[in-house]
Amino acid sequence: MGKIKNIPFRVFCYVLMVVFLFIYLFPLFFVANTSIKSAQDYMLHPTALTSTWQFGNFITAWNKANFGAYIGNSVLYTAVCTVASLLLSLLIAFPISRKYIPCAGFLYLLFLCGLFLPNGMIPTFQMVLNMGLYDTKIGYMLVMTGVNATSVFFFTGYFKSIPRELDEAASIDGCGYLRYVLTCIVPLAQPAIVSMGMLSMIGVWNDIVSSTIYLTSEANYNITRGLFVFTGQYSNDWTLTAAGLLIVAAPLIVVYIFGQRYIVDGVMAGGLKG
Amino acid sequence: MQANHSAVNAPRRRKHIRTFPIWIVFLCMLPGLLHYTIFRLFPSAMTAVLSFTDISGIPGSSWSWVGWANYKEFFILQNIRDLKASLGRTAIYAVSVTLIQNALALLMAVILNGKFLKGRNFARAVYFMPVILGAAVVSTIWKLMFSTPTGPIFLFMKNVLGIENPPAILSSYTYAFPAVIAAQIWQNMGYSMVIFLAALQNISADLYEAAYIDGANEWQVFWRITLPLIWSAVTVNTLLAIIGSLQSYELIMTITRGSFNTATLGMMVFATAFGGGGATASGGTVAGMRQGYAAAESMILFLGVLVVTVISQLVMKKMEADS
Repeated sequence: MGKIKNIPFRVFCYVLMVVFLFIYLFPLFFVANTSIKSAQDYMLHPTALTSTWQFGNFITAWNKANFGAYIGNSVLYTAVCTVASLLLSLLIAFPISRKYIPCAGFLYLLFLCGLFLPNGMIPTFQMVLNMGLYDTKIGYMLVMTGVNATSVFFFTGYFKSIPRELDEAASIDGCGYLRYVLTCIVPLAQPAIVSMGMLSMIGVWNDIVSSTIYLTSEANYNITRGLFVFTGQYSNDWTLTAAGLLIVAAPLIVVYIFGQRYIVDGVMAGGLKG
Repeated sequence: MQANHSAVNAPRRRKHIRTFPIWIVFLCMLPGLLHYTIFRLFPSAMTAVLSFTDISGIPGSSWSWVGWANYKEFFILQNIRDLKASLGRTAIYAVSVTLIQNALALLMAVILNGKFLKGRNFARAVYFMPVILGAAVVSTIWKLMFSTPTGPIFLFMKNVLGIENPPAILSSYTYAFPAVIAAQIWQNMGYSMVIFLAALQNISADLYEAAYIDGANEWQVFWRITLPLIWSAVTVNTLLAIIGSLQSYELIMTITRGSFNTATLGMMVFATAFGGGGATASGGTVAGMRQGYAAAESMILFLGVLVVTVISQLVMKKMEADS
């Protein structure tokens, strides 16, 4: 704290921080405020603080947007795709970081290429269509799962901090490879796995593009589709839209509050690869 | 840790003990490799192949090779007006998002890096939050904010700015596009900011201390110390923003579905391939499910991204060398 204090600069910093806090918090606050208003109250005084506490909006929104049915799908998709992606990425990244297989460097580059290649949305669609997996839960999950370059990059770096002697000790003691990775490496790499797991969860939960492409029957819809149906059909009913929005966002906000550090770590790692 | 470890072992040059049998290791990699090949590499390559066909998204319909017809249609035929508009729009979108998002992110990162600032961790968490919320939620927030006649922005224009008949922003051919750009920046500013903050935290406090003792002010410190030392983060953020904004269409799709002059090339690819109400520049809806043509658009977008990425990388390198 031996710095020479520059009072105008500090005031400037505080003012800017508060202005931006307003820009970021006001829309969220407005949504929350709208979600507990009665429709009439909202039409008359849209920006006023709510005078009623219409928590019934959440129940109405839940029923109208059919969230009860979609939330189960979203939980399934999120869980399966996240676990599968993590497992596939781990089993790819570990041998690459240890150079247990020939041309580990080439494979590493191959996965990094995934960041720049065209996304292949159309051929993937044709493939899923021809495999008869269009509009099925399995097809959607196959598309949403993936060995993603960021995970491979992040894990490869992280595994280097785990001493190789551990591998040697385990194999001398007769521990099988898969068991070793799952019971020894996974706990040791826990922070990295939690970071990538959270990013993957958020990605799958929020997906709207693939869901629009691959899922046409309501029985397969994920939760964001519920929100979509909602804003289209009841577009003037903003109190219900706001309530529906909060239902979709609530799990994300909870995950964010508890896992902020891991998520930010993951993003920083993603940014530093370039 | 790794560095110490190898330094200790280095003089002995001990050969690693053989660990796990290679075939088991490879067998465990196989599912991931297969999935990556089938769902990532193969579709990428096939995009180029399909761009020379007239394949459609309707199951069971026949298709044939059409040579360069899709590309000719894009560049020469009746779509020339749409082409100019969509390419221009894609460029405006990418340039404005990249510049504004990174400028704001850098500004906020420098401010939040000030140790004296109370509540800076809270502010960081708040600015980053929209990144987590995703396109469906963010688009709904902004549809609510921009809604007419009860949205706060409409009321602000009417009651505070005193505009008599404020436009319905999201259904205006003039204002919808800037509004979508603003929403995109609002959503992703925190992402760039976090990457800048990571770089800023690596700068030694001694450097600042020395500069302030020598009588430098904040402005000089920023240009002479901070910026050169975080130049790699500037490069990364610029590239990520350029690549991201050229390709992204989630917010456009969820806010306007590409109508009201908001369809960028990425949005057009989606609308051409899957319908979904996307509109071209001239206002007519794109015929959905023309996937051969969409694949050609997708290849044009890919090559565009490639060229822009390479050029911007070279420019950033040059700027680094000059400074």
